[in-house]
Amino acid sequence: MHGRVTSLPSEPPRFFNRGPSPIARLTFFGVISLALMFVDSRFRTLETVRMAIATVVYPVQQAALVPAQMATRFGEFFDTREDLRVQNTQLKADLLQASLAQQSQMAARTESDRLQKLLQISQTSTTKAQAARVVYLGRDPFSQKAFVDRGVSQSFEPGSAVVDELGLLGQLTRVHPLFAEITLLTEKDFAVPVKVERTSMHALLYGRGPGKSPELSNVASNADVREGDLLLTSSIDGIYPSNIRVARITSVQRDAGSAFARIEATPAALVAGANTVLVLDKPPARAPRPVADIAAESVAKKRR
Amino acid sequence: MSLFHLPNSPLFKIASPEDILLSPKPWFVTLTLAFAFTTNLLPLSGFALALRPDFFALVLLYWAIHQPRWIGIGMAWACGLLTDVVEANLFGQHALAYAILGFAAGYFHRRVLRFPVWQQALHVLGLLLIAQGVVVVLRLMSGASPPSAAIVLGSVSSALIWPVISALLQWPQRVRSLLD
Repeated sequence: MHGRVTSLPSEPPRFFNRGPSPIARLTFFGVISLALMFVDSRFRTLETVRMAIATVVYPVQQAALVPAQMATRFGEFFDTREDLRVQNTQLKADLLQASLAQQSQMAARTESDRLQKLLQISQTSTTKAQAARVVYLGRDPFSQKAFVDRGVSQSFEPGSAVVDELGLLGQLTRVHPLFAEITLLTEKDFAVPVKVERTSMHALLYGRGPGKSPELSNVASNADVREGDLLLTSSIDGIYPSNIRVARITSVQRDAGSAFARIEATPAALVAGANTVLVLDKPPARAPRPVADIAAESVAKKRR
Repeated sequence: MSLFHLPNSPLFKIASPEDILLSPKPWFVTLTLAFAFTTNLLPLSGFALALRPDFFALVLLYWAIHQPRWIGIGMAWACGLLTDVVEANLFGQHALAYAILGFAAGYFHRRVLRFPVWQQALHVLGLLLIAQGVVVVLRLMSGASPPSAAIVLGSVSSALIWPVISALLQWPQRVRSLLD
């Protein structure tokens, strides 16, 4: 039983000078990490650092996309004539329907413009849009992000609404020189001011994180909301242009014990599968609040 | 009793504790780290993403165990910071997790290599789960919603390919010793 090695030393003898001890180093880097996390989540001061590193790493990211792109190309090569013909017919039918809808809307718009002029309400302007391609979805399992590429001439602005052909997808949150980040509307606490199409009732739609459907919050139990109702943007926030499809209500639960109904909705857009998206310019700025109003508010605050 | 059999060739043999490996070239360490980082950026989503091994953490862990003088806590921390930037999430979460990986690797590196490769993989699984746990706790504290439990699969698949990673990363050293 002599000479049995009981344990191996985990650190070299003291006389080899290797700088600070591992535990000291871990503490040092741990404290820096925690500080970074605090600064990043509370303030927005690290955005330039992030943008610089992201731009440097962008070519590497593009390289990682190559295998998937090659696979897609290879798949497209084997698309049959028949498939393409069917798709073409379908697209033509869609176009016909869209142009019919457009024509009927043109008439409605001239009518509404005329009425608005009579009532002297400022006219609703048509919003401009820029097309972008979704390059990949975010890899962070805690958040709902998508990334689009950005042409040099495209002027994206953080905060712009992003839509696909079916409805609202989310909002641009970070704009890097070569790509931009979209926060999808299923992100936790992502709020969209909406109105119910049928009743014009206003409410807020909150995202609830990955794998859960967004919820219409703080709607009274007796409110007139049904399954299948369509939700449109209400543009009350001045961020989203009005009347974009957002979601369809899938379940309404009314609980006798609660003053509010539990209303879940499914996004209209293909949140996890969008390919081509439109980045909408922000609607024109609203008139500033009346000075008297702001003054009254500050007086009220002082009194408290 | 191993579940998988690597080809029984000297080229694919994983070093036993008695073997003294040639020191790897610094460019090889850098290249493998860069390649693993790129592999992590593959545009996967959904379940495939949850199942994907964290190649960057694995290669980092390998070098931190085999070359602790080169890849230590500081390098691991820097690599984690890079991951945070490209994943566009909270700055510093992976940095802290990877720094802990680097610390643990430095602490265990004499011990881990004494075990057969499947028990090494178990050590790796434990370390990766700790790192993932750190990330989850940090994110929940910063107000994110809990992710699906499937993300644990990433650590499991990482541990499963540890023997393959070990064999691949020892490959140039084997080729050189065979040539001599």
